Amino acid sequence: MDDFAGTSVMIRLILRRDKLYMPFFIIFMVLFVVFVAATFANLYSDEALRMGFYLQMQNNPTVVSLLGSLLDPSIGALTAWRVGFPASLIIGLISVFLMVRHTRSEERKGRLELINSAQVGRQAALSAALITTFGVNLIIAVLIGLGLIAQGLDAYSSLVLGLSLAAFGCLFAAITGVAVQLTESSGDARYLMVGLLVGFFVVRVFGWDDGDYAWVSWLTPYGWVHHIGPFAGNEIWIFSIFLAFIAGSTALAYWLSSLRDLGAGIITQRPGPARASKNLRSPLALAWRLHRGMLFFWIIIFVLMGSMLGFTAQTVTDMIIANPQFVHLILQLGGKTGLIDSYFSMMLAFLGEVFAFYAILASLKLQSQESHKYSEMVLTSSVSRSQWAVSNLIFAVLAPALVLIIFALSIGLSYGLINNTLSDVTIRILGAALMYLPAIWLFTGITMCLFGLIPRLASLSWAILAMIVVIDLLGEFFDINKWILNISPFTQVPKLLAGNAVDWPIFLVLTVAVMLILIGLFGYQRRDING
Amino acid sequence: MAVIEIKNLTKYYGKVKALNKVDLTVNEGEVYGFIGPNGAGKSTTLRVLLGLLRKTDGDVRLMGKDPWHDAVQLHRDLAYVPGEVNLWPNLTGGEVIDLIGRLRGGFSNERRGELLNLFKLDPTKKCGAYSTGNKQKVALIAALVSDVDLYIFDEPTLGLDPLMEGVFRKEVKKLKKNGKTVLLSSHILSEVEALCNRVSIIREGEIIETGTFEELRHLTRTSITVDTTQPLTGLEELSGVHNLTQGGTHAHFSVDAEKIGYVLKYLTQFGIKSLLSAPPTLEELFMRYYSDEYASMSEE
Repeated sequence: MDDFAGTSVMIRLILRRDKLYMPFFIIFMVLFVVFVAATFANLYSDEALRMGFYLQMQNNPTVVSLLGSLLDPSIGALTAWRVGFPASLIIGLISVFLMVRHTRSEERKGRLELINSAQVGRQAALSAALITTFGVNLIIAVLIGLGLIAQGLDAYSSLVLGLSLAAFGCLFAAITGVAVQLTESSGDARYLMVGLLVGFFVVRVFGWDDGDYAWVSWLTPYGWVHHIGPFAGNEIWIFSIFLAFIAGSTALAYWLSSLRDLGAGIITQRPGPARASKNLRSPLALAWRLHRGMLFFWIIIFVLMGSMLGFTAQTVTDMIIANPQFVHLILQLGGKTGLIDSYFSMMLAFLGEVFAFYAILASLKLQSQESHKYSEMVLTSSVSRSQWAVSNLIFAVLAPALVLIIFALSIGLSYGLINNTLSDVTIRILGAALMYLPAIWLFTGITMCLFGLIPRLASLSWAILAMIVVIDLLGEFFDINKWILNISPFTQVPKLLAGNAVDWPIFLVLTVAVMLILIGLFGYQRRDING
Repeated sequence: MAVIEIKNLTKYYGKVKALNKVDLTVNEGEVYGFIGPNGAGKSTTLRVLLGLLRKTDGDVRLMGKDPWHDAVQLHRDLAYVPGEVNLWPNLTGGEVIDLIGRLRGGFSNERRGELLNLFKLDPTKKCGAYSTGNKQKVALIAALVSDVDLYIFDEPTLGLDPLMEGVFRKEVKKLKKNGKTVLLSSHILSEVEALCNRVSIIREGEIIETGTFEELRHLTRTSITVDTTQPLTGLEELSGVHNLTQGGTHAHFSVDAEKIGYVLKYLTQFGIKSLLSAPPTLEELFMRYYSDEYASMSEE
């Protein structure tokens, strides 16, 4: 038991360090779910209205393929259906973040060495991280349950909904426990886990509920969350699948952790080159070196996603056309072309914020390089501040655009290859995708502006994106106040595939984005370099 | 010619005053020591000098130019090792040395190989895997590999073992021989004593002493150990004598520079058997300025 000595002290350390993060995550998750439920309760309190919504969504394969099938027209079941995928993804990301932060990051920064030299066992850090992350998940589950009960929903089902999300989060916490044993760097562990979160989503869409391969949905935890069906069956036996995998991953994590040295990974790092390549001689070359790993990762993920979604779109539309019930829907949308367009349009709307996520991630490299004092080495050689900042900004601006274009092309190609409509569809999707760029760049601008003026608040751009995500999610299905919707830059994106025309608001967004970037650059020239 | 000229430099961080009217002049070809405890303002001064921080007030000239406005141009002619070396974890040490060297305008490969050898650094390791000392070596090599006019080191031997400290000292002496200017900030006094012509001492953002070691020694006390044939008396009443420990015919004390002659004359009347006098070390100098305890001790 000596291996676990000091776990309780470590738990207290984690709680102290995360006294802001954890409450923020918990409140965000709970408010998100409860808010969706409240909106359903307000806007669809009438049963007939709800039934209409239910039928409309249930009969739309586009919606079903992305969010899963609707199991029941009750307020609770609609809420569970609507939040199932996004809430799983977010709680998964939170769990990955917390786990890596308190295990591999600590080890990488050498702090764990200090701690382990005291009366703290080798498994204490892993245990403390698992316990606190599981704890956060369970608190979220209970609070979601209570929040839904408070709105008059069935108590048992409310808790099942909360717990289904917590089970997903705990599973990813446990798998992260394994991942951090494998890699030496915390960044690699994070990539591995986000890749897994996306991979499982791709599998989920492939095994969509009304498709030919519905059984595939059992191979992904997103599918399990869906199949539990809170307020519509409450198949709580599925929790045992979760429990088995959580227990298995946890055991594997402990076993791997007991095998390796402190600071080492199971996958050992090979020595690198003794000399820099000839090209590594400018701030731009350095920026490319620092951004390329992340860029390749995103490209691979979105090529995969794009081709899978393009392929699924084919089966979705085939199914609609084969069914005479949907004739009116086809006509309404303008034939097969209209149908496929509306599918892709919705998908773009669905994923637009993900590219903004990347834009922030890439922009924050500026901030992290400064706070880690890497930039100081460059700025004290003959590189000007603006050269250095612009070198990095190029990637924060162009990389998300590149990934978006590649994503659109993969959709177009994989759909077009099957249908022999290659050029036509591809060009239309690409055009529609490009309309998202100003909204995506707005987040590059926000981050750059904060970095240039108040660098310690640069991460605030995450909170702004989180707020926009909530607004967009609500706007997607509910008739909320137009004024609120207009706050989101994504509202201003003309949905070309849905027949919107390009209008002035998107140019306004573009102008603001450019202005913010320039303000940031200007501020950065004039302030102290932190260190 | 003055390479570095700082006059009345004041720097505020928000409302906190980090530097208060700092003066510092470093001449060409000089190895200059900048001494002070942690948090005294050494790094802040250096960072203003490098154009990383904006001065609040005062006049700062580096090779005749303004380090804030002409930073890029000035950086071509200087090499800097920061106080806390942090390097990109996914680049190897060899890559960082090449990158920084190239950004500063090129270097000789022969010199690079020589330094790698001297400092015994494995350049194929990723920076994330280096120990503190090895990261320090990477930064030192990246700086020493460049042939520039001015070298600025901020606590350069932090984390180095004594052997490597010796290598660093040798390299600085070589720079001095070649007529380079070096500004060395440190709190390791033996290092400064071994390398520097002149020093400035900074405390709580203010320069409290500047000069050569000889000049500074004047300001302090010589320690004396003496054995006599007759029991010593009355020493405690002599002015200029401090920290006296005494037992019969043996005494140990320190004495103010200007009172040495007077005290020696007094001692001869007891018949001196042996007398040991030691010049003040920089440590004592340092303690005198920094330690409140020491101050109160000597007042007794």
